[in-house]
Amino acid sequence: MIELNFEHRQAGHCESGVTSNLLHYHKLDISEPIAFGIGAGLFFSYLPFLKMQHAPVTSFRVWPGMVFDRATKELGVQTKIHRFKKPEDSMKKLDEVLELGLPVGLQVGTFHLTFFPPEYRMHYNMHNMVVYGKKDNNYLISDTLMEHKVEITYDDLMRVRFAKGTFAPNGRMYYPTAVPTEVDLRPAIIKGIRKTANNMVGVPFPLIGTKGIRYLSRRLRKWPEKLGEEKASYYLGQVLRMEEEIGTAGAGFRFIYGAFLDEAGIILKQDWIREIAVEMGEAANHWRKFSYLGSRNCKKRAKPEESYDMLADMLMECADMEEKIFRKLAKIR
Amino acid sequence: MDKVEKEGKAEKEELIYTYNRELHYSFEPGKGYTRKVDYHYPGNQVIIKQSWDEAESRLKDISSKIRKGQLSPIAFYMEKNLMELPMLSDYTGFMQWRIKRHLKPKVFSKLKPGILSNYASVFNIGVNELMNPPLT
Repeated sequence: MIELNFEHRQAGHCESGVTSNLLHYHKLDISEPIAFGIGAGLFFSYLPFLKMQHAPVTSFRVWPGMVFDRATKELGVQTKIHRFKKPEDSMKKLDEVLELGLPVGLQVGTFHLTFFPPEYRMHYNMHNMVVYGKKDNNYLISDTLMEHKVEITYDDLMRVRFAKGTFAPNGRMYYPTAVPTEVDLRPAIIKGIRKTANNMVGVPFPLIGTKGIRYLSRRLRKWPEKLGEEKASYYLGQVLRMEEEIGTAGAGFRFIYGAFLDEAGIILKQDWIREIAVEMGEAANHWRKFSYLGSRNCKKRAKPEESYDMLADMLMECADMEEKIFRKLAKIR
Repeated sequence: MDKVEKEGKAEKEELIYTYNRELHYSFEPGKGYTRKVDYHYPGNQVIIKQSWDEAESRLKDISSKIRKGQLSPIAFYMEKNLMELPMLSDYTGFMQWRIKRHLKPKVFSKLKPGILSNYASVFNIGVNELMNPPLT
């Protein structure tokens, strides 16, 4: 039996939370928003050619794994990352690392995650959690979405680590091995902000960044006549699910990114960044309003003026606000 | 934003998820960012429910097709597990065209026990259950 002294802290976004909590165990304290910001987690992409649950994919974040990889690299933390072909190997390796006294981050699928609320158990392979011990046949889990620590059996854990489908985790496990105790956060923060600004306004491709938001807006406007009321509402629901459902901390990570900018402004001693944090908060609230009115639409309780036209307009406004924000942030030094 | 919150509370009876609190971020002009542990934002539960309702109606559709003899029980469990062809192909190791054949009742009735038990284990049920799905 192993039980590491791991502090369970809830978080808005699973991967940033896991990153922050793992580093906290190694006595390097950075908040969840800082981990998210340094990892340049914020993003937008609309991928109509990729379908998930019978509707196009909208993503508000970067690929899974990138936040941890980037954040630890920028902070000079040494890490190990493994993927596996055989499920049994992955469990053996997990046991070995736990024996060494290191908590381990895992990428898992949520469909068979036994401790998860049933409503959330869909095929979503980008969830992250920490294993911090083993008791008989059960593994001890700290999942940032859950209020308390939880447990999962050997077989169930193996199953979720080898979930199939888009972004299959293939047993991916990751953990810091050597962590510096004193880190200068400033260069890492600046680099993270630049990266995100470039992702959002600097890429000449129509489906990502603020261009992607506008593209989605133009498509969304046409959904009712092109797809019919029923399907349009389902597609809209999918956008909202990606924006507001589990692990986004609300408004498609915009709140958490704003909180990061706020903290970054203090650490860098640059007040203008804190002003932008306020603008980010307003943009986030606008996204939230979009999702609120959108969900009324899904419930068929929308008033006529809350039509797709209006929702599309709101998305355009979100894009404008974010473009302004990231054009300014791109000039950081 | 004020209006949103008030109406959100009125909709509390629609909560489908009340046993685990999560961490939420929010922003208020003049106050800045706050973090709060609370139950899931009620407005969002509608969209989660929509996805499950949609799955349920697809399942009903498939059930009626199975009754008419147009589809095999594999179609039922595929939808019950929210799977699509590529994913089921990954889980079973069967090629997609093979699974498509297995969706035909005529082909299904002649499947060997080994293939059936492969499907059953992926769907986490017994072979007997696989043959007799609880149609909706």
